Amino acid sequence: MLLLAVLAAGPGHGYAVGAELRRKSEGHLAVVEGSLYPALHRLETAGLVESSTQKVDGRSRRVYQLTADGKTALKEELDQWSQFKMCVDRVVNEIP
Amino acid sequence: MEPVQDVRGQGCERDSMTDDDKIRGYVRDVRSELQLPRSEKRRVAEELANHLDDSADRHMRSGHTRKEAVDVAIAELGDPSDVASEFNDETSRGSHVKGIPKWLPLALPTFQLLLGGILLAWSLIGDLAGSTRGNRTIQGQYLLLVIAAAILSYGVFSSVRHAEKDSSWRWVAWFCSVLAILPGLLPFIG
Repeated sequence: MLLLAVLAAGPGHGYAVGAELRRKSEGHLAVVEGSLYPALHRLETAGLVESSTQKVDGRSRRVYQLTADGKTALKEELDQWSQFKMCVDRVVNEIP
Repeated sequence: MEPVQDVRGQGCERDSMTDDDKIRGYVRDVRSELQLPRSEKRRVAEELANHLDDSADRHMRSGHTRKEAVDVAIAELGDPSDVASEFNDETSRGSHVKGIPKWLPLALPTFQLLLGGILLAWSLIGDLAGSTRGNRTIQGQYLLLVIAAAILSYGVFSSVRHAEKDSSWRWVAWFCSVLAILPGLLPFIG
């Protein structure tokens, strides 16, 4: 969900996706770097992201972006997350 | 998304051969353990090399020398065997076959479906026109061919879709495709 959420802001190559996740979470969330690329490939295999080779900063990069299925999947994941968060909040808020 | 600033060669001396060799060595180690098609291996190697360069640049911006930065970047990415095994696990789950090769198992049953449909239609039209082309037995065989080919086409189509998440379904797709040879022989039996 987090990778999809980062890519929802715009296309990016693997390192930029990881860096953006770290920046947005102020360093609290960081994908284990060795797992980042397998995860992106998994999302691509599932049709949730697509990639193309582009020149970025003079280097040939694999740039990922969300597909229509990816946007739908992200919306579903966000709905599930909201429900889960709401349930936890209800329990925690009842602590005296 | 913020572009990653390229600071290679800035600020401190860069022992390029040694550092680049380290990156190349790491990428070579990962690549040697990958069980992926050659094009995918090349792609992974390129991504990892770029990642290590970017990561080393970031560490240099926080004050490390190039040598230290490369060492930290490699350490952060993790053991080459672990990285390769994550890619290999992912491959065993979903098939990487794309484009025309992905749908190749569908070729034979679809061809038979079309052929059976054309033959059946031709035979029925022959019946209506009062010609002798129409023959109930042959029409029955054509109909059987169409039904069998339709079922197998659907089987192959479903298997190919399932193979996107579990590559073992590719075998089922090819099995259904090979089965399509049998109804094709029906008109010639008896």
